[in-house]
Parts: sequence; C-alpha cells; structure tokens
Amino acid sequence: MLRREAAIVLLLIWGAASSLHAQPTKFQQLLEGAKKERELILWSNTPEEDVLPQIVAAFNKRFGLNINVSQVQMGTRDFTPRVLAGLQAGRVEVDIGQGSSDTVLILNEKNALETFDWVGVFGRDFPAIKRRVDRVIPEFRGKVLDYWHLAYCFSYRPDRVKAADVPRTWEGLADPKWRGQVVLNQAGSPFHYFAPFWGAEKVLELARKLKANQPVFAKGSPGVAAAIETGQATLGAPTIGQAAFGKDRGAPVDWLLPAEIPIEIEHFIIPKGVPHPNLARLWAAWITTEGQPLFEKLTKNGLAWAEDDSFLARRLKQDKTKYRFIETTQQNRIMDKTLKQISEIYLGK
Amino acid sequence: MQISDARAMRLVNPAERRPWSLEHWVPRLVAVIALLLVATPLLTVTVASFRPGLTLPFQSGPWTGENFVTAFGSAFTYRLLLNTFLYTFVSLAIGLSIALAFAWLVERTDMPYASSIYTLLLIPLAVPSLLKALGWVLLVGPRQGVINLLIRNVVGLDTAVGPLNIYSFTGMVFLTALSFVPTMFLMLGPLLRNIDPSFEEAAETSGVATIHTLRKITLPLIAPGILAVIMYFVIVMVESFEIPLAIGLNANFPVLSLQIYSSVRGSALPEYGLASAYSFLGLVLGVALLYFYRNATANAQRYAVITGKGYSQKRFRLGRGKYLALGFIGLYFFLAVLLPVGVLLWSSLLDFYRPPSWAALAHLSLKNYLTIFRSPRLALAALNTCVLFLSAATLSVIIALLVSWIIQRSRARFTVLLDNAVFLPLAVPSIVIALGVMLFYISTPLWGTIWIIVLGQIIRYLPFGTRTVGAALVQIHRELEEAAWASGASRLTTLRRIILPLVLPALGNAWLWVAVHSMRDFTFPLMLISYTNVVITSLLWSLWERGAMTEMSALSVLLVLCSVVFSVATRRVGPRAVS
Repeated sequence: MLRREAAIVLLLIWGAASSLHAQPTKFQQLLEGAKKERELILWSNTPEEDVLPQIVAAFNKRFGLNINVSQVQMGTRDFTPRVLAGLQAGRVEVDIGQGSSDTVLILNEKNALETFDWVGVFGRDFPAIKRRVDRVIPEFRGKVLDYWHLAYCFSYRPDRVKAADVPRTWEGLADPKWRGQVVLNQAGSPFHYFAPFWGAEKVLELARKLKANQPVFAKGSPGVAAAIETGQATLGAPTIGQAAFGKDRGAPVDWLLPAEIPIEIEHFIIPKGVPHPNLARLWAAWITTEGQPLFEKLTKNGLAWAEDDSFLARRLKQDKTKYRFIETTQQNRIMDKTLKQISEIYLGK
Repeated sequence: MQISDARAMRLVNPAERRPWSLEHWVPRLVAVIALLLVATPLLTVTVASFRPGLTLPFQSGPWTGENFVTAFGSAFTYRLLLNTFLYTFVSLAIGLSIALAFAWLVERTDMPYASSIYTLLLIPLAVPSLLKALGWVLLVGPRQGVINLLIRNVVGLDTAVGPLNIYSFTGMVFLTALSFVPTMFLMLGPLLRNIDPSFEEAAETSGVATIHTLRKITLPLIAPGILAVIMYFVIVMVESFEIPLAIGLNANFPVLSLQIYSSVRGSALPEYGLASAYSFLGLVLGVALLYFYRNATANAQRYAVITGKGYSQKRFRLGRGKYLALGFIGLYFFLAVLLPVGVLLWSSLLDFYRPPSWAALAHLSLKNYLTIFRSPRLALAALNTCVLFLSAATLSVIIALLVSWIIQRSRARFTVLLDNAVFLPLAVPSIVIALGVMLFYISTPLWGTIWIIVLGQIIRYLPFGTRTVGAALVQIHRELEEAAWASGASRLTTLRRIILPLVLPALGNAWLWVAVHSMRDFTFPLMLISYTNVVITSLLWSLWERGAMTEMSALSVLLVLCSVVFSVATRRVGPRAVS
C-alpha cells in the first residue's frame, strides 16, 4: 500500500517536473521572439562602425541567430530629443542607445523607460547581469543597465612637461605656472562631476581660478584631446579613450590618472515601445556581461568596478586612484546645475 | 538717362482680374506652401519659448515666462549684446568693404581672369566653419601656430608664445570678415552686373572722377542689395556660433550666440525654451530691419536699373591698377582658402598632427584617405549628399523666386506677412528649426528619408534665397512685364521669358550658395539622421567625436575638393554662361 502511494507521488512529481521541463523558460521565450525580430536599430557612437561587425558576428554565433544591426551614429544630445519626439508621435524607431545619468534621468522623468526583470530572465545564463542592474542609480534599476564607463584623465605633452611635473590633483591645473597652457572643455565637463562630493561652491571656485589662468577652450572632449595633440595646449583633461587614441598613433601625448577621477556611467538604454524588444534585451544582457570582454577589447571602453576584470579597473587599482560616480538622482541634479554654472563662468558671467 | 518714376500708371495683368484662372491661384498656392514651411520654425520657437526647461515644445505641461526672465533679466545678457553689436559692426564693415570691392572689380571693370576669380571666391564657402576655425588655430595659435613658429624661427624670437594670437578680438573679427566675403560677393555681384552703364557713362562724360561716380551713382543704385546684405548678416550674427566658440571664448570676448549655443548644448535635453527666448531678439530685430528695408525701398522703381531700354555692358578700365587688384584678390584667396585648407591638407597626410617641417615630410602618406575610402557608409553618404544639395538648392531657389516675385509684384496685403514670414526663420537657431521639423514631420512618409533633411534645409536657406533674388527683382522695372502683358503674354510666360533670364545670375548665385551650404551643414543631418539618410557631414562628425583629427582632415579635404569641382562645373555650364 505504502509502496503504491509512493509510486503515485513519484509519478506526480515526475509529471510536474516533465511538464515544467516542457514549458519554455522566459529566456527561451525571449530568444524565440528575438529570432523572429531579425533586426536591431542602434543609435549610438559606440561601438564604432568598423568594429561593430565583429561584435554582431560573435552575438549571432552565440545564439545561433542571423541578425543585422543598423547603426546610426548619434550622440546623446541628439538621442534624447529624438526618443522623446518619437514617443510623443507614437513612432519609436530605435531599439537601443546609450547615455549618461543625466540622459537617463530625463528619459525616466518623461516616462520613456520601462522596468524589465533582467535577473529573472537572464540571471541563469548571464549571472553578471545582477551587477549590471544593481550598479545604476536605484531609481533606474530594471530600466537601464550599467554598460561601460567614461573615465577622465590628465593628458599632456611629454616634450614640454615631465610626467613627474604633471599635477596629480584637479586644483593643480589652476596653478599659475600653467597659465595659458591648460585646455578646458568649454561646456564645463568634467569638473561638474565633483560637485556632489566636494560641494558645488568649491567646484565653482576652481572653475573661476581656471578661467583666470587664461586657459584654451575647446569644443568637447575631442577638442581637448586635439588641442594637446596639435600643441595648442600643454595639458588638459580629456577622456582616457580620446587621450589613448592619440598616444596609440604615436602622437607626442601621454596620459596619467590624477589622485581622484570622476567616472561617468554610460547606461544601456532601451526606450519604451521599441520595434524589436526581445532582440534588444538579448543584445543588452549579452553585451553587458558575457560579451563585455569582446566589447572592451574592440572599443577600449571598460568598467571601473574593482570586481570586474577590466583594463580600467586594473589601472585604477594599480594607480590607487580614487574614483567618484553618481549614485543618486539628487547628486545628478547638483551635477547638472553646477555644469551650467561652470559654463557661465567660462563665458565670463 | 532716366530713373523711372514709380508713380507711373500701372498696367494690370488681365489674369489678376480672373480669380478662377490658374495664374491667379499659382502665386497664392506658392505663398501658402512657403507659409506652411516657415510656420514650422516660427511656431516651434514661439511655443518653445513659453515652455519650461527640459520640455519639448508640444508636450503637455505648463506655460511659463521664465525663459524670457532668465534671458533678459540678467545684466550679463546686455553685456553680451553690446559685445555682439561691436563684433557685428566691425566684421560687417570690413567684410562688406572687401566684398563690394571684389564685386565691383569682377563685374564692372576689365579685371583679367574675372570668371576664374568668381569661381575662386566661392571656394571658401565650401569649408565648414568648424574646420576653418580649426585650420586658423593651427596656423596662428599662440603656442604652436605654423605662422608663429615660422616668425619665431626667421626673426629668432626666444619665446614659446606668439608673436601673433588668433585668440583675440582682432582674430575673431578677421576670421568672421573673411568668411562673410563670399556670401556678400554672391549677393552683390549680380546687382552690380545689372546696372545700366549709361548712368556711369553720363557721370564720366561730365568729367566726374571714378571714385565719385562710385559713391554718387553706383552705390545708391545697389542700395537695396547692400541693405539686404546688412539685414541678412545682422540676424545671422545673433545665431552664428562657430567662430565665437573657437576664438571668442578664448579671447574673453563672449557674444550672444555663445549663450544660445550653451543653452542648447549644455544638458542631455537641450533647453529649447531658453534658446528660443534668446532668438526672439533676432526675430524682433528681423521685423524692425524688414520694416526699415521696406520703407527704404518703398519707391522700388527708383532702383530699377533694368528697363525696356537696351544697353550694352561697358567696363571701367583698370590700367596698371589691375595688378594691384589681382594682388588684393590673391591675398584674400591666400588667407581665406590656401592657408586654412593647406593646413588641413597637411594634417590629412599625417598619422597625427605635426607642424610642417622637413623632418615631418618623411611621415606623409595617403593612409587617412584609404581609411576614408574603406568606410562602408561612404558610398551611401556620398550619394545622399548629392541628392541633398541638388534638391535643397533647386527647390529653395524655385520657391525663393516665386515668393520674391509675389512680394515684389503683388498688391495683395498678405505680401507684407509673407515677406516677414520667409525672412524670420533666419533668426531661429538651426537646432530649433531641426526640432520643429522633427516634431511636425515625424509621422509623415518623409521621416527617415533624405527628404526630411532637404525640407529642413529649404526652411533654413529660404531667407537667403528671398533676400538675394528679391534684391535682384527690385532692379527690374515693371514696364518690362507690362510690355509682355500688353503683348498678350500670361503671367507665367512673363516670369519664364522675361523675369527669369534677367534674374538668372542672382538665381545661379543663390543656388550655388545653398548647394555649398547644404553640403557642409552639420545640424540638420545630425538631428534628423536615420540609417538610410546618412551624409558626408554625418561621417565627418563621427570622426570628430572619436578624436580622429587627421582622418577628419582627409574627409574635409575631399569635401572641399568636391565643392570646388562642383563650383567650377556649375560656373561653366550654369546661369552665368547662359546669361
């Protein structure tokens, strides 16, 4: 009797288990959906178009797909209004993009993002996805992913200044001995990132000192790197990517990390109502986890977190560099406000 | 010698009396199309200026006047305005003097190689302002500028800075004036060409010196054209930011356009409201200038130098002065084209920028050009660029001709509205026009195609077209049309057979100007970009964003080269040859 009951229970368990097994998981459902979608529309300058085919090939091989990625080179300043205008008109054309926390904050406030259960769907296949979800500002969790990090450095001309003489602090750039030799991004970046940590007034005071030191102003971080490369300035603070680009080509420039640097998280963004949602999410989950080493190798864009095996994390650890990143929306607002004030100081207000 | 009397009795085209005829409706239809086109930027800028920050103009939300308080409640704005006035005044005075001299030399004298000079003067238009400024920084940057290095070596100066400094008010005005000349020349050239030489001959016969003839006869006759140039550039200066951004900020001489630029590029979502509030200043200035222009040219027939009487062109003889004139134009060409394009060409042949030297010659290669040609998007971008500039130029000029003709000739009251409406988008920043196009046309089939960029550029360039063609139309006496009507010609036949051939030089210039500006424009291609409508400047911008300066120089040189070939070809087979 007991044996018969046990057999029935076992049979029930087996039945339940096999029915569960037959039920496709959420990941498999998403993968099936992705296979039908076939195309992905990317609005971003990263990855560059010459390396994108290699990333697409690796993605296709991994999931047995044959998708095509249509990339539109677009900066975040154009991405945000385009997404909002598309939502307003009920015509969202993009699947994936990227942006820093100020972009995400606006899109979130305008209800242009939706929450997705990344860990529930991808947690088993890509365990690192939890870190990519949790590493963003709490209000953004589930809506965007931590993608890669923009780190600023001090770039300089070794033919004019020895590495040992390059300042190691941001205040050092305002030293009168660098009068007329420092190039600054006219928009105010990256000093505004320090406002939530140092206090806005200290940052603004530094901006005033920098302005008084007769800097060279350039358009954006590429302009900063170009001014050093062409010798119009001796040192400045572009992104590591732009400084390294010149150095790798043999230009008389080098870069080092000051004692403390700001880190800007570039988020992976999938707006609400995208045309290929399954493929977009599969791509996002893969490229921020399993595909991340390939992405880093091809684009030279890495992650700063100590637990991630990235060139950036290793370099920060090696140089014992303290890094700051925005952790709350409140900090983000302080940062945005300070950016405007710095650009006004540069303008002469 | 008779300057026709405006109070002469007007003959009315019979078509004007037949409201059901096609000829009656065509001008009105064109007017409606033009008004619909310009409604996009004007509505966008108006609505945006009353919406709070970080909001798209047509999203639901509160209305506010805070943008105007921010824009005009600050004393700093008035300092910027004063700087802008000074900068505009000096740049205009220098640029206009040079352009007038060039236009007179090419059109009214026996200057040798006039046709080639005409083409050469168009080349500076082809270089994007961003690159022109970059080129000049490489040339006269205080630390590493090529010219400064040369002077230091030759004179033996033991200094790391100077002696020249592009980062100064002088540098900013110098560059701006240089960049104004080709456009001014294009606007003024056809007007000088059309002047009946009998006016000047009469002065010459009476023993009046050439300089006095110029001052008393020639200049007053092209006064509407000069006014049009001044109006155009005064408004442009409120918005144009490339040279102030590259030079003015470093020279510690901020102007209003920098404040506008800062408001649209300072945050993740541009502050369209604040930028729009600032541009209201340009709109008000535009209305005031148009009012002044209309009053000044109210008696339009005073400036009509093309009448029913035939005349033959007679040119002033320069004698030995032609060498001086050639030197003057050569110097301009050297400064405006050869130097900045030369330094870009040099940069394009290197793996990274180095100042010119014998040692650097060993590093020259065509690697950057090969990289450009290997770009998978280049062919599509080149094809789209051709479609873009050919369409934008042709459509802009057709609309400009019809609209200007209506404004000049129609007695309907709506012409005042039309005149204002087609001119005012000039005061609206390009980025706000692009936003308007995006919001208005996103649901149409045009969206995502190259035609959406064409549409944006037509709106952007219509003010230039109407000013240029309008100034030429003022020169044509109404008696020519009246004669055609009296002979039974319809309104459209009159336009095609009489007006069109007479304004062809102005139309050709406007076409060329729009084509070259369309080719080098960044704003519309970047904001309205899709996978299929990528153009050359989109590629140029992505190279800039990557910091690939030498590759960007290579693509710029190719762009300039294409523009030069195109300008030369157009000049050979275009309207000038026909006229």
